[in-house]
Amino acid sequence: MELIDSLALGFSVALTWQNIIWCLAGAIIGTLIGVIPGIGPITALSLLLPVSYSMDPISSIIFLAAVYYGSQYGGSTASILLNMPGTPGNAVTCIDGYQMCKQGKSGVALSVSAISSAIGGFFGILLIVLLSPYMIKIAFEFGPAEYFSLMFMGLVAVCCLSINKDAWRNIAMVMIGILLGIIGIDLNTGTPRFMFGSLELAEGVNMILVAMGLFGLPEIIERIVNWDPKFKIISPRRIYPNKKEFKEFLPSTLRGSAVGGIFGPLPGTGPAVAGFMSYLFEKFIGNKNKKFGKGEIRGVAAPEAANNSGAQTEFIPTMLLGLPGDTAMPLILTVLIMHGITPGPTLITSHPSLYWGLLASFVIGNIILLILNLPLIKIWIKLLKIPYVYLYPAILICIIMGAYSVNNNIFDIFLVALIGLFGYMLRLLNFETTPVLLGVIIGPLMEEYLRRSLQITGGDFSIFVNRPISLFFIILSSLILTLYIIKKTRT
Amino acid sequence: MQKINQVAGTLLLLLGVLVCIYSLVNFRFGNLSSPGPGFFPTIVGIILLIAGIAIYYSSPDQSSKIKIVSHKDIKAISIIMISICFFAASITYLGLIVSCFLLVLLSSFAGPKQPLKKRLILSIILTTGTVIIFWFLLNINFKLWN
Repeated sequence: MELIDSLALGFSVALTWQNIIWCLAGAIIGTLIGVIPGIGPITALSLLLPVSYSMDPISSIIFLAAVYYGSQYGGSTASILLNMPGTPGNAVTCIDGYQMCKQGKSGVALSVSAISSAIGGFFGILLIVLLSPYMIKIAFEFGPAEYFSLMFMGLVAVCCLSINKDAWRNIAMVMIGILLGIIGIDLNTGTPRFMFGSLELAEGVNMILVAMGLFGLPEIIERIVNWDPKFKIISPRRIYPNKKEFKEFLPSTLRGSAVGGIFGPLPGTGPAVAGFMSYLFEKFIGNKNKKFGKGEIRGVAAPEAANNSGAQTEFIPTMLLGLPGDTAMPLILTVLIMHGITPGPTLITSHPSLYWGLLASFVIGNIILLILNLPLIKIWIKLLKIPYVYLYPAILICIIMGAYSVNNNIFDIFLVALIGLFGYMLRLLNFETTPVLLGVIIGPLMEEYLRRSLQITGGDFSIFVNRPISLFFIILSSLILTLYIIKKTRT
Repeated sequence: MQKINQVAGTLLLLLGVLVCIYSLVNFRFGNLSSPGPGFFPTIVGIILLIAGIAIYYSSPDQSSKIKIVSHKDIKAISIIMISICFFAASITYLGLIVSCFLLVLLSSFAGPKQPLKKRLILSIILTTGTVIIFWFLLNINFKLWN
């Protein structure tokens, strides 16, 4: 009964006209930035942050969250039509989505992705609603050791399951990210670290700059270089899937939603890992006709469901533990803190209308996005038809403005260029750079909680296995590691 | 293919060693019961070093191809970098309108050839858009004009 009361409260907040409009605006902006490769949710959120400070806290969170999960919907459009992921979460969709497009089935691929996204999204919401009461209980038990072990598990998952084929490459990328995160003044002792005399670096390298530099700029350069003037986007003819196709992809969508629900709440993993894992899982379950990689409809449905389910469920660690579930979540945390709301297990009881209002707005947002991405899909395709030559200077402006608005500091614009150059070199060396960002975000938190745990015990590492929840995470991490090693030695 | 792993591995190994030395020399390592500011960076450096060695000896991956840096790549990356840095350096002296106009014009040379008239029109349109969206709507605190 309590649950129904909470949901009623949530909908009473989310269904006010102003919150519906903010949700709609967020969904439109999210789809827009998702569709255009090179400008991701992080750039958009960093540009919109200053606007949100003057807004009512609930509306601002509803708005920014809608931008974020909206970008997961829009991202698949570019994956399917251009073979370019709109956001990192849609990277796997390229494999089969683009092949379907080449076979003239782009319309079906787009609608399958929109339908799967919606089902994944709703599944994620359902999971949050049902699990919230239990999650609070667990969250209250969290001390520094638990935080550390949970983040450790997130990093292990990213390293073993991410897109780089070799785990060592992922580890190296995470470590580079952690190093970037270390730059600045150490909060415990006041020691300046890796600043090389630059006062501008005292507060550290902001993750927004790293995200824009590593993903935005190399993406632009890659697209300019590979631009083919003869390439034309094929307009889809048939949009809605037929009965046979429905039967084919629906089970995959449901499996993908479940996989996304598992990987979403892991701190650091986010939609990209969720999508990737669900693709591997689908391939593992059945690849009879060897159609994967050649336009398999299931290869579009599963990752799209997973990344949306993950995009919703990652709000659990963000809101209840204050641990960012993914790269965009630190921005959501910033907004919460700016408005004087402390994320943590007490958030639901102290701000019930915010928590349940946000959840209810997810439902509304997903309905809006389904409409935006199914009947209105043609508008977004038109947008992608704009030659990239005209688009990239605009994206460049967005990146520069986004970098500047982080601290209102011109130095950050130079920094983003430098990071872009670095990211481009990493790509030349065949590194997948997504884990770098996770390192930047999670590194400082991990250091903090590791030092705190060790100070409590006087240098005794057994705290990580003596506490049951922490032990559980450590066991799961070792399980992932063992599975990875077994798989590696077999091949 | 073997080579790319070796180059990447060597670079990471070097970075790891440098980080370790730098942290041990400059920051207090502390001990396990009270880890100092050098504790975590040293561990990170050691892991980087090990990862470097592992990547150096890792088997080549067939699916990935070696990327050859072409003339086009260098042109694109350098023009994009120069135009960003130019914007950052000039904004305080020239103001948003002029800097943005020059940024678009300059960066358009990174792409394929097109007539100058087209580039100028694009610059005007995007500058107008920037002023409306970022200055007028999002209140970015650049001076419009100087």
